[in-house]
Amino acid sequence: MRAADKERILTDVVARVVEEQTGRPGVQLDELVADSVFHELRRLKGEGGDEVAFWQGLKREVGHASARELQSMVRRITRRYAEEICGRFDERVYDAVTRAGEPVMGLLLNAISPRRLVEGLPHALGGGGLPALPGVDQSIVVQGAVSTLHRLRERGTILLVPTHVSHMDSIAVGWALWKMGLPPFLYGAGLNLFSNPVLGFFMRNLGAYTVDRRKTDPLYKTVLKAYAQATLENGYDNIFFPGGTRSRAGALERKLKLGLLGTGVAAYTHNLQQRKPQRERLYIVPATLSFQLVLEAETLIDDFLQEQGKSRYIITDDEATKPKRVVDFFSQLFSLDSKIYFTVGQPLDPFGNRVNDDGESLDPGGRAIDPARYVMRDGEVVVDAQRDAEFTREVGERVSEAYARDTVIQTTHLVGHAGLLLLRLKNPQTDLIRLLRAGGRVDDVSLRELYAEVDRELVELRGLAARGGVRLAPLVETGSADDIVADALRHFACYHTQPALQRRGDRVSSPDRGLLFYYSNRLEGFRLERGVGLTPALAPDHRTLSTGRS
Amino acid sequence: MAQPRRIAILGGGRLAYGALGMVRPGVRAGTHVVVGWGRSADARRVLEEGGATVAANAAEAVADAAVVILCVPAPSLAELTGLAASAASGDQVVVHAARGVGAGFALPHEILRAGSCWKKIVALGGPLYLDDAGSGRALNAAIASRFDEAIDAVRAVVRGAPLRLSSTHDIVGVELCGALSNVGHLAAGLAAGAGLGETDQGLLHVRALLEAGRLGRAMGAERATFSGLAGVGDLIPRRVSSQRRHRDVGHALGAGTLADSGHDDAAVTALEGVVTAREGARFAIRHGWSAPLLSAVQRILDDGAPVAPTLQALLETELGLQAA
Repeated sequence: MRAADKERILTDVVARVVEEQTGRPGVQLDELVADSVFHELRRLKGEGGDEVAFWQGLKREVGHASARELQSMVRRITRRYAEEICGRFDERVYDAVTRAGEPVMGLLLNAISPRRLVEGLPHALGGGGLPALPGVDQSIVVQGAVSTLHRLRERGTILLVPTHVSHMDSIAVGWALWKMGLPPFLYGAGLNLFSNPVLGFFMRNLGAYTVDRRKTDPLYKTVLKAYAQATLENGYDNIFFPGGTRSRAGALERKLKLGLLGTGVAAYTHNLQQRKPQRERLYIVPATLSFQLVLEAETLIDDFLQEQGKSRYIITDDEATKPKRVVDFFSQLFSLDSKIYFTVGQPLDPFGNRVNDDGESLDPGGRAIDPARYVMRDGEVVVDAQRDAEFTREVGERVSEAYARDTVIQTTHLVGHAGLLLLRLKNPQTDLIRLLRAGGRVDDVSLRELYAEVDRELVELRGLAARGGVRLAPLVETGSADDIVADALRHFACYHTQPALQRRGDRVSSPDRGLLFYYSNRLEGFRLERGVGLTPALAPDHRTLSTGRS
Repeated sequence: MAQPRRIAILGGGRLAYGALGMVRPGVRAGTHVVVGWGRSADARRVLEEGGATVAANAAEAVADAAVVILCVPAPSLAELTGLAASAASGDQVVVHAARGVGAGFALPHEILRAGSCWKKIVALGGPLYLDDAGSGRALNAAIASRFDEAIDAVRAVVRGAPLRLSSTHDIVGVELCGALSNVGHLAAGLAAGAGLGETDQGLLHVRALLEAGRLGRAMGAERATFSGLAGVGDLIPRRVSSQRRHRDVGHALGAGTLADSGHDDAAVTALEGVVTAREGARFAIRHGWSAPLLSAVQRILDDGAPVAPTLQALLETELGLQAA
């Protein structure tokens, strides 16, 4: 965010949140402050310093504060949260970074490893790019509605909503934006990503703002949404990951978190009311990221397979926090000529309608319509929270459909799915969770069976792809089952602690069935298991295991 | 004084007659004016006699309307939407009382959305016994929309009319109840025509509601809807005007007297319950869901399955009160 806008937006956010909170019927300000104090002191238990002192001070004051003092406290808390979210920003760094382009994106990828950064810094700042990670440029394939995205950005504000599987997503999206010739977008990144001093420095200055998911205070979430909405209203393109957190199971997100997504229709309505014609247009652009291998797959699937209720919402010790794992991951991925696909989906208006290249909203028959009418009543723009929540739910459904349509199926997904499906078929008496944890009576399959199953699934997937229902990586699109299996096994063998699948003679087994499940899940929801009489592995929302027969 | 709001009524028959009655107090009070359009001369006559200004076409009637009331059965919704879509706008509230489905088991609100920019859609369900209105008694209906403002708009339009509305956000549930209720009436008519007793006929109605509930749960409807006014509340009075035809047609089919009954084949084929049974049976197979009543009625209609044995076999199966 530009420095000139920062204070104005912060002031606006604080004013808006305080007005909303103090104007709500039935809200007791002392309870509101006490609630914030309670949540924050609980989070900070055992810690000291300024932050604890701030909350302890409020705790002492709240019991005997006047109405005016309570309002001031709400203002102080809101301002504190807003400043923390907005973070520090140095316009000079922003300008340098956005001009430098590729070298800096290389730096970002290397920033995970401070040592490599130091080694590469002189070369990069000299404009020569980083030699440490060759092939980054060739490894990220940007495709889909790229030209439409360009045109719409000239006409309005973009809310980019990608799938989320890895901490590498934000970096890959940043790279893709640069490759498309677009400036960095604002986005909310988890506080843990800022803990790396170098990465944090660049993220902050490239437009990332802080989202501290450890904070459970409802007021914090209100401030976060108000901040995101205010930036959209002011024409800042944003990135939200509506899955909320990285997909633990490896599946495409089905049930999206609608809180931040809902700021789209709120910002649109607000600008209509304020009669800001230059800011009125807002477009929601779904995007998918597809990795052949996922850096944190082992940790994520372990977490998913924890007993119900024990999985962690925030993971702070996964592979992304281990520099060597990150470097190994990229080196090995690139050495296999592996691709990361970033696919830009068809844009939507804030009500879930398609838009054309000129930014006009279309009805299902392709007729241009006026989206402003959705928020009008008797000719006037009106704010209606229930109406907006319903529109946001619909946008969520359209985004979720776009994820399925635009995800790129790679060899590891297909072969992982085929391998796990065969193991399920060979162990009909063993339920899925037991099969994954302890294995079944039969723990391998013949290569011939695997080829046959891959062939069967290929027929369905290629048919679906021809109807526009999914995208396939080139090898999956045209290769033989032999080549696809060979490519997947090469990938499985190269990075993870144990491979998801490995070949021994003419048999294939899974040393890490959890990992196999993880990669298999990318094909969850495409109903490939029905052809062999199995039920889906995951529940319809893709957040828990299915309760059906394995 | 505020400009009167424009209400569009499209279609004809008893539903249009009922709709005109519902909006009449507002017209008299000067809060709204009514513009209508119907394809047939009969429909236009009903509209004109009811005080509506008759438009030249559907789009003209819909243009600038605040509320659009569609008075046609489900199989005609797609065509009517196509005729009106060029004048549709996102702020319009669209009301229907269809009790059936379209091709591919598309529910009425899905048909409307697929053919236009309309999103603020309201389904009327439940007993909705139009003869009550004719006798000056209050009409009872479930009113379903995902948008509170759409429900409020309908309440405002019918203010002053003898109408008891019970609202819900569960439009899927209300529409399924209506569609399956027609299949239930068709099945009960078939049973009566084939000589099955009243208990069996009643059980076919119960099965229709249970089947609606099972499909509803799979399609995201709320369980409570099926035990509310749109479900059980419709089953008990079960005298909804449009459903009499279903029972009559079913009875003629069951007794083998259709040819002499005065119902022409085209009208039978387009009957909401007939379309629902056909589309529902295919839809259930495609999704691997159990829909024994839809399947039995479809086999009787399309495959010539013998009526009494088919329905008796259905009644022999476990009722499946808890089945998902």
